[in-house]
Amino acid sequence: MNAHPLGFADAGDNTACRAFLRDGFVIAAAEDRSSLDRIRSHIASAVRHHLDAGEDDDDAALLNQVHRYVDKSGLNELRLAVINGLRAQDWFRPTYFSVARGLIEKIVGNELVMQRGAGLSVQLPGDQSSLLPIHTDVWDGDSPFEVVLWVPMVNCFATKSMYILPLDVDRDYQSRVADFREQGSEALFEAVEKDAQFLKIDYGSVLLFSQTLMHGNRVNEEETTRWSINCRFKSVMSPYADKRLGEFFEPISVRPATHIGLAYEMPGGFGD
Amino acid sequence: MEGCFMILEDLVEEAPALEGVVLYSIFMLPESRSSRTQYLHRFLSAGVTIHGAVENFDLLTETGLLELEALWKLRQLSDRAGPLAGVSRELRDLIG
Repeated sequence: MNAHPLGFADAGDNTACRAFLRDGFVIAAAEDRSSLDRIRSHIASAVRHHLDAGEDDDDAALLNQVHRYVDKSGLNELRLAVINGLRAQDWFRPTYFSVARGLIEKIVGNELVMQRGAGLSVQLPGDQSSLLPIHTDVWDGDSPFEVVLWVPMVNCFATKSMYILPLDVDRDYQSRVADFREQGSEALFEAVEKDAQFLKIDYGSVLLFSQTLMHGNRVNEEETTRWSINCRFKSVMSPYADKRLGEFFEPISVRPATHIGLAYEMPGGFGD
Repeated sequence: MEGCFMILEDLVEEAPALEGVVLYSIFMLPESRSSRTQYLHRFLSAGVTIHGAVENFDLLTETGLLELEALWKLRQLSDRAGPLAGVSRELRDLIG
């Protein structure tokens, strides 16, 4: 790393940038706790409404203990009811962004596109049907310029959380990933397991990570249920892959100079 | 048929009888800016709103044209850069 890997203009507080450059991810406190609480409160209300249960539980207790009210046969219906309810709220996407706006602008930039439909993960204890094998999103057609904002709605730790490979070890394994093409993703996980970090992220914190890193989840062997939301962001002008502007990403901040540039047309009437 | 806007032309003719037009995608409109804005002005001046289903985009007034044109230009720029290198099928298969 040279003396100014972030450029001379970023001489201020760039702790998060340096952590991201080193690890490929960063965990930070939510910047707007009331926004986070609003999202969780809406989720909890949707769960109570859908399951007709949990009236006496506070939001955290209900989400952590939701497996008392639903098993894996009803889980997907619950998940869809909750995420579709959230997506239908005009306030949801700006509110989700506000939870980590400063961090995203530091790591990615201040002209941004945001995934139109955020994802929701709900992982009941012992449920083997909600697993995400080891992968990077780039291997499935995402741009390596995207980051994921992963926000837990409950305290997440150990197998209740996601695991990730820090940048340096990730790149070492990725250089050898073709060795596993016959054996599959489980063999790949077994090979990287000793270096995989199950992230401890309490409610009130957020994770921002480069989805070029290998990550995934395992069976939740803890006693409580995981709830987390994920959504991708990238710079408006950075290269796209399969997930395109318009159908997948929506611009959420485009600066005036860019607007003028976009609208500019060269004077016509010249021969060449 | 790509580059053919006969149906759109028919719709413009019917505009006085319409409330709105739902396009699968706003990027189905003509590539040419002048042609595109001409259609959109004709719809809007007849009180017809335009909606892009995939983008969940609503064009309700003339002021919305600025947003649509910005989105259009950004998409053109990103397309001009070309997509990143594709992912091999074997690599996709690895993650199931």
